[in-house]
Amino acid sequence: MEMSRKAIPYTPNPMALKDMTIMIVSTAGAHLKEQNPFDTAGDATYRVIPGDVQAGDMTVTHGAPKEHYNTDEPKKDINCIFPIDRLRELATEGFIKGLAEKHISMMGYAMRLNQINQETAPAIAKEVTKSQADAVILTAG
Amino acid sequence: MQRAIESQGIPTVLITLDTEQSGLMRPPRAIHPEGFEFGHSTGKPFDKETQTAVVRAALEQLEVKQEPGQIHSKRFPGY
Repeated sequence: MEMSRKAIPYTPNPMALKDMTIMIVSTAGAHLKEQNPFDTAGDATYRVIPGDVQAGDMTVTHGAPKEHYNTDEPKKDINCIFPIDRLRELATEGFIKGLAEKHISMMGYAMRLNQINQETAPAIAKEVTKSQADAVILTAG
Repeated sequence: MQRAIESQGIPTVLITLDTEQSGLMRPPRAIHPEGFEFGHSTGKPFDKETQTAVVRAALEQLEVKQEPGQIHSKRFPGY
């Protein structure tokens, strides 16, 4: 579907946070250490991050210049850009209901904008719809 | 990305450090933690307190009826 740049898609949210399941979608380049890293020259693929992931099993690969986005920082603690532990704590305390069964990650600064708009973004939107998450929190790095 | 997800009927909220780029994209809901460096979307490594505050502030936007396209700048004194 072609989207107008003028109109802003906005889905009203009638739910209370305490009843909501939240999914992370990030363009900060996070992935499992065992997954293929992103191609820093340009990459329109995405990685599915399992819901039960341990923060220490994740790392970051990103093509942005280091002076712009220093990935050493989220490599120390992935929660800087992929707040999985913080969301789990918020679920434990009842602030939200829970976390989605999977999360999605890709690399911004990916250069392949047409492919991302026409293929990657719709594919990710489909993953989100299938996941039955009530809402998505996005981080960009 | 956010627009593609919203248009499927799923509400979203963005944490952005790049208000210039994100502003052009006119996000449906967004917060901007003021003064944070890239790589620190939610805060510095192991700064659990700031990270939690940022994530909470972002999620709280989901409960606020708002005019889409605006980025809400917030200060997090712990950063």
